[in-house]
Amino acid sequence: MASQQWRDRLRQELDRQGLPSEYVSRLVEELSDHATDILQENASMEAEYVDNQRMGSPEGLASFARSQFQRRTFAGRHPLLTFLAGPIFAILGTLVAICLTVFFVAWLMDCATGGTLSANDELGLPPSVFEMRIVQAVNLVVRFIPFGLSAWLFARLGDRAGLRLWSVGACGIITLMAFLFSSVVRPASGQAPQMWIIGVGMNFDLDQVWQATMPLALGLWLIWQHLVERSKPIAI
Amino acid sequence: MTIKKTNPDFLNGVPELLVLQLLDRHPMHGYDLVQAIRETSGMKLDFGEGCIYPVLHRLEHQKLVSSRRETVGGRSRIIYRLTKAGRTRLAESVATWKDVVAAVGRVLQGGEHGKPAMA
Repeated sequence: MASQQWRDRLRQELDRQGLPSEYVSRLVEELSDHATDILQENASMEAEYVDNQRMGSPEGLASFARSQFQRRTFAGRHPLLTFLAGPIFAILGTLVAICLTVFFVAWLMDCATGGTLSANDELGLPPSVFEMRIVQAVNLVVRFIPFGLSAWLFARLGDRAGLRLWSVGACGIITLMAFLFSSVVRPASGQAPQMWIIGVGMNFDLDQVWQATMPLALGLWLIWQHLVERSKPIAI
Repeated sequence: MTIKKTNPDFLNGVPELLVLQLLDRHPMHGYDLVQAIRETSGMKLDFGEGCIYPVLHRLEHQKLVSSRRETVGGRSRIIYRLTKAGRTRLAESVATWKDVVAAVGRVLQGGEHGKPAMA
């Protein structure tokens, strides 16, 4: 069996590389079995020689394991495309998907009510309280879901590919986009009807700060996780 | 068959090629694979034996090999087998490797461009 010290060191190095615990456990178990096989076939060999000369150094093995782990996923093979361009497309895609869903549902509701909703518009009648509540709810969804969902998605992708720091970068881009994104529902006043305005703006108000809190918090949590792993003492 | 213009997996693909080729003969566990590589290469290929497992795990994730825990010689082992997708990949990798070897061979032997420009 591989010496406990070598296994502990290897496990620590694999953890420091940001590899998932189930992957690390299986790898350490198989490597331990492998070292047992070597010692059974070569009874005169010393465990230390087997560990470092035959199996390889824990640092080298962990580094190689990380490179192989990263090659398993698209994100690992193309980190620039995934974590830098990906968030922009993910947010735009989610926004478009939400808007299309809302329009589709509104169209269905209009059909189901025999065209009452569109008839109200044509007659110039103000929207009902129910319609106003729906618009405000959709506004909230548009402000928070694309950014929260994208941040979660890229955190997961980074975790699966062993690329947590790239996830931090993606969360940074998402936070910036959330700061710049503006979606406001203006209530009807006087002659002006209720309006829903979506755009990009540099007028940082509290709403935009709130939008950015989820990706920002997730990014900070990933940094904290990374620092905790790096600060783990190395077994001697 | 022409070789791809960019092939970043060229050197990384060597351990993969060896593993797929050996598993094509019969299912094996990691230790057997390493011994098979050593013996069939006439002890010319020497490497940290632990490196075989990250390669196997990646190939398993890519569904090129499958694994199953079995009891062999009284011990529980993870036995790796080549899948159908693995066989297809092996055929592609062997063809690419032969092309690369042939191309390098032509360069080493020297051709039109190998002759000195001035006598």
